[in-house]
Amino acid sequence: MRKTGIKFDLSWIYVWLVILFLLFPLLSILFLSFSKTIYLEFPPSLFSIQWYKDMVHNRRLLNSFFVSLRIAIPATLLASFLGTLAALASRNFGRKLSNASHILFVAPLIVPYIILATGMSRLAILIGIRGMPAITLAHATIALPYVFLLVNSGLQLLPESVEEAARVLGAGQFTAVWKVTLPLIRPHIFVATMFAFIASFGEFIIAYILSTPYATTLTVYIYGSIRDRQEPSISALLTLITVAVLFIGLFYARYYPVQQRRQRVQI
Amino acid sequence: MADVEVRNISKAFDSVEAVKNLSFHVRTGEFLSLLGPSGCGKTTTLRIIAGLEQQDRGEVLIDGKEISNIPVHKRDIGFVFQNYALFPHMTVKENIEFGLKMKGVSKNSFDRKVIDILALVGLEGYEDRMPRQLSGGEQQRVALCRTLVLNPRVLLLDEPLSNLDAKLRKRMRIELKNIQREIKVTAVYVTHDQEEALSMSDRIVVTNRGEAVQIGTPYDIYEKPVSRFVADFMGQVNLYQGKIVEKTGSEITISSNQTPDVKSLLTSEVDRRDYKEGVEVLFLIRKEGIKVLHKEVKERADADSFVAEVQAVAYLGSHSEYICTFQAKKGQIIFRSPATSEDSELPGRGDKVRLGWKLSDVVLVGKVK
Amino acid sequence: MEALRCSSSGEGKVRNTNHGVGLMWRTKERFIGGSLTLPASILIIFFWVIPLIILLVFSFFKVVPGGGFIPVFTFENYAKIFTDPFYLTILYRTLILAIVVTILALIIGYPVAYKLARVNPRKASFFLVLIIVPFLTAVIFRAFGLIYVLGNRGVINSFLRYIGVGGIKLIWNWTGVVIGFLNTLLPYAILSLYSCITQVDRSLEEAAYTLGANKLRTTWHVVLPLIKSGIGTGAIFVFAIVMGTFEVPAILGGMRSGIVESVLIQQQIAFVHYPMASALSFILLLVVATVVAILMKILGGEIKL
Repeated sequence: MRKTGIKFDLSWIYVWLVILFLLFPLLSILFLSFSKTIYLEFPPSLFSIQWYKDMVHNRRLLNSFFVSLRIAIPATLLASFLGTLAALASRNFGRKLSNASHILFVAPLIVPYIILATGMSRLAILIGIRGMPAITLAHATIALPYVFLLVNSGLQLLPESVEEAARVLGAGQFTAVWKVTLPLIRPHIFVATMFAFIASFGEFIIAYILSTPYATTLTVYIYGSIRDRQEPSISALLTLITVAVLFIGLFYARYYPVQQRRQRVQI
Repeated sequence: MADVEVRNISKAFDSVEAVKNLSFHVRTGEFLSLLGPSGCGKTTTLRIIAGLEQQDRGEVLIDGKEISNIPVHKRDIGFVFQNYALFPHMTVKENIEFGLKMKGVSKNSFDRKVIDILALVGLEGYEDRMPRQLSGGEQQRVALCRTLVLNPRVLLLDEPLSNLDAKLRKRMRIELKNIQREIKVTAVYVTHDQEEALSMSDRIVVTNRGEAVQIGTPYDIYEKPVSRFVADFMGQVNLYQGKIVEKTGSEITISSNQTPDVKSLLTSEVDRRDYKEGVEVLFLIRKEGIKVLHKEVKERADADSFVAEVQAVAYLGSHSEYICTFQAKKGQIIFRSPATSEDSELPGRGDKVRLGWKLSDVVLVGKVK
Repeated sequence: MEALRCSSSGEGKVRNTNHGVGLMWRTKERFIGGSLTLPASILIIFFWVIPLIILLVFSFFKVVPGGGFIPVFTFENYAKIFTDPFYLTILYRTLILAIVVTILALIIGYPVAYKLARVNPRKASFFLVLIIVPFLTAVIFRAFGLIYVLGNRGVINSFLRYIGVGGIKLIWNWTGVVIGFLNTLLPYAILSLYSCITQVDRSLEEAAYTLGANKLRTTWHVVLPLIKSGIGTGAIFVFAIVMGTFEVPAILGGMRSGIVESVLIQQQIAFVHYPMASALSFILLLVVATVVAILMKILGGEIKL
């Protein structure tokens, strides 16, 4: 359609507004972490690193962070390993079995976690696990679909002939997958791992219901703190976490597209 | 029905000039083609007329009124896209009705109009089909119906036949032209196929790299190209460069290292003024005018003849194509001859033949700068 | 974001996975290979299927007044939910909330998705990254941040007071909850719409313009019908997540906002009315499944996951 002569365009303002809206919480956390006051006011009174200092001394906060890690890392590893296996193995299946397994592996994504949490709590009592092991297993379960879907989509992009060529050249079943297929879907596995980690690290409701005084994740801690007290030191920790995530994301973003392009050229 | 004028239109995309100072005028009811190689700005120009692009400079006028400030949907111009752009989620009928709906025409008349317009293109009974069920040619015609049912003042067509196979294209050419003539709508047609342009247009605008190189009737464009580009593009194969060495009244003699000295006629006042002895010119010999002469034919004042050697003969079924060279000259001359002949033998490779043509078959294209 | 792929008006089913590889492997290999799905299956069956079964079973147990329950089969939990106005109101409110958020997310997100779909991909990916970045942080982190934005002593209100206008109540109420959800879920809506709009040929819109339709009418008659599956995917994601998310209403709405999940938690923690909690969960599940099924029916197309 006709546009105005200048670059100035109303619709871009709208886009920026929406994006700003989406980024607002993160930005406010950032500003809060450097704020001199407990609240984030306008005009903002910066600049202070008191909350970062507080954070370092905040035993319980830091503990919850490590609990989150100690749950998320095993959960991610478990989900990534099992999910990749499942994706690779389900290539073998015929139509019916393939659809069925698809549904099974994607199911945890569809049902709200709160329902799962309610059921899990009962199961945990029944089989006598509690706290961190219980949460870890539950998180692995909900992370599995992400891994399965992402690795699967990576496998679909692969031309079948590459693995077949390896077999023809004498590689056994395991070797062919290990040396040929896996390296080719490495970026997909990496992204899947990232998603799995995020799913576990940021999960609240399951961690809340299954929590014990010792097994309190960061998300549960934040929830408690909101209800009970003002704790801006949380914002310091969150800022650091977000920055770390951004760095990892950026690092990977530069790595990933190049991989893809090289793949296409070679194949 | 309206006339369209495009004045000094320029448009650049990211520092690439797509259209440079283009001007032309389409008369009411005329079929004008924008002809040129791909990427030379003709589609851009068409889209500017439609309002899908905005020109950087220049005016677009319909019936003498500037329309550049009128948005696309109010311009009342029909546009047929290269990929037809039929709405895939609507039936043929709904596609055609779309414009009527937008205009606010009363729903009662829809059925009648749809039936009539489908009949015009020979697609009776297609109302309830979906676009994906139609062949290329059928989609093409539905796209046409969609615009024509609105009685637009101007019809713009963006290479509408280029996605069809050759045989269908030839048929559709005739159909399109007939429809245009019957409805008498002013049409601007973009194509890169010179056969299409020649057969359908009242006038042609030949464009190259965004500029209008020649505007004229198909006859003018083909027989009297004004530049090497136009001559080349239209398929003139016997193009040479030489110098005028003699001028006697209207008759000139051109000397070149590609052909023996040929004679030509200066037909217009302008030509008689411009072309003098010593001028370097670009000229062509019409391949349609070249004939193989038999010994009995005697010399004429308005014709020329030379001996040439046949280098290659290509049998093409309906005719044969000959490539010959002149002794001690660098150029080739190409012409066609009937493939079979009852009375005499056909020349073959290596034979020497006498070629003849009228002086009027030697056409001056222009001066060499 | 393969999960948000769409198919345009009725073409293409999910392509089958690598059958060539499967057929090439010998039968013994196929068996071994296939069995590698077992560990994953076991995990899911144990920690997903079984909990749900337990939930189902418990939902039919009888609640003992005063605390606890006895393993007697009864429908009374479900009956109570459907007759007690307290529970009905909660379900109703949750449903309305989910519907409102879904509609808002789609309406607000559409112009963004459209704009990004119509500029060159490199420019678009810059903005898409900006949209995805919040995804990488947990919902609760963002809710935490929103408190400081929407709260009474937060950014917006102190700004309004600064310029002389009074404060507005943006938190501990439905407004806060809706804003919180939109903040979390707009990216879902935008991305699923975006991936569909990019597949709509621009010439279709241009054709509509030349036929006399302005931008709005073109959107309504041409674009929207063609992105039905994108709308459906977005709607399903948003709806299901709203129905199942606790953090946002709990934090931004205050415990008094009365949404299903809050009640679930209260009963859960009380550990008294576990069967009730179970029954409520299943009703919730049923509602979500029903709405999703209806959505998929209406929009008629295929929504690839």
